[in-house]
Amino acid sequence: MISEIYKKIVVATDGSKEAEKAIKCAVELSRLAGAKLYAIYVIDRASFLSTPLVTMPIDVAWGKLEEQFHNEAAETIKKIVDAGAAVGVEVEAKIVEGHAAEEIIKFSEELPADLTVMGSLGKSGLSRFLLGSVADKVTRNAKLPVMVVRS
Amino acid sequence: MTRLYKNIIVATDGSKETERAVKYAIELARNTGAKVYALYVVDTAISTTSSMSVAWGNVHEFLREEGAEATKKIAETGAKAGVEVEKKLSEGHPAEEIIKFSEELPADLIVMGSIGKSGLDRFLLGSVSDKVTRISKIPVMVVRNY
Repeated sequence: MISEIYKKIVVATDGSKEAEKAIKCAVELSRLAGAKLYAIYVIDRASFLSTPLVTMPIDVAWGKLEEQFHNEAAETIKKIVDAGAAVGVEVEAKIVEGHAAEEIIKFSEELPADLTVMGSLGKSGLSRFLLGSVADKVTRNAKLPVMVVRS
Repeated sequence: MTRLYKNIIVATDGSKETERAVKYAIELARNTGAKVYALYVVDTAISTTSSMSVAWGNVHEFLREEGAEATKKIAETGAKAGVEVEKKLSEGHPAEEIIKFSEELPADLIVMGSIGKSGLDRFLLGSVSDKVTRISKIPVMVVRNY
């Protein structure tokens, strides 16, 4: 079915387990609505820098971390593209750096998206986001519809 | 494949603010083949937080009528789109009742506007949707009016 409303759906992820259910919901919804799915992955350095871990002198290791962030992002994006391809959903992916909530809102509004789906980002391996704070910020500040999917 | 969307709740407070949420919920149900439950909660906390206890009987009646009217409108919107809508009126604390109902069904999704800037200004704008988004274990979709 081609939806009259849901033509562009955004799914935001940070690669955490928490976001997996949101991805599943977004892919299924895109399939049913005949929508195109836009996957956005935000590398949020500010959140990472505010964690206690970084009070250690890690300048030397920064290059490695940077690389790890990008690998993780590419892997997650690939998973979403594959999940979409498996059910015939077209996926366009984007990796950006910046403040997670701001980047998600900016991306959705520029499209503009008919719906933004997200988990309670993000309990990632590095605990670099406060659980749920990103989803809270996006729901409060976005003018566009937002769906929050908890694991 | 198990269907992700079977029962969708759309919560209304009868205000203009929820009109867009209703539109989005009905279309989602049409696309997914889900059934819609139109829920209105008569906020019983009003009588205790304001000095209206004397007039509570009237307010209560007014709210019930508002709820009947709001859910009826959703059912009509659904009928036009070929979506099955069940009307539901409950009483209590809005956020709690929405969560409770969603767990009883169980629902697969709760759709709500920024409930609610109603005529009586009885809710802080958006406070109900904020609470539901935080507490709910099932997906919550918040649709604001422009």
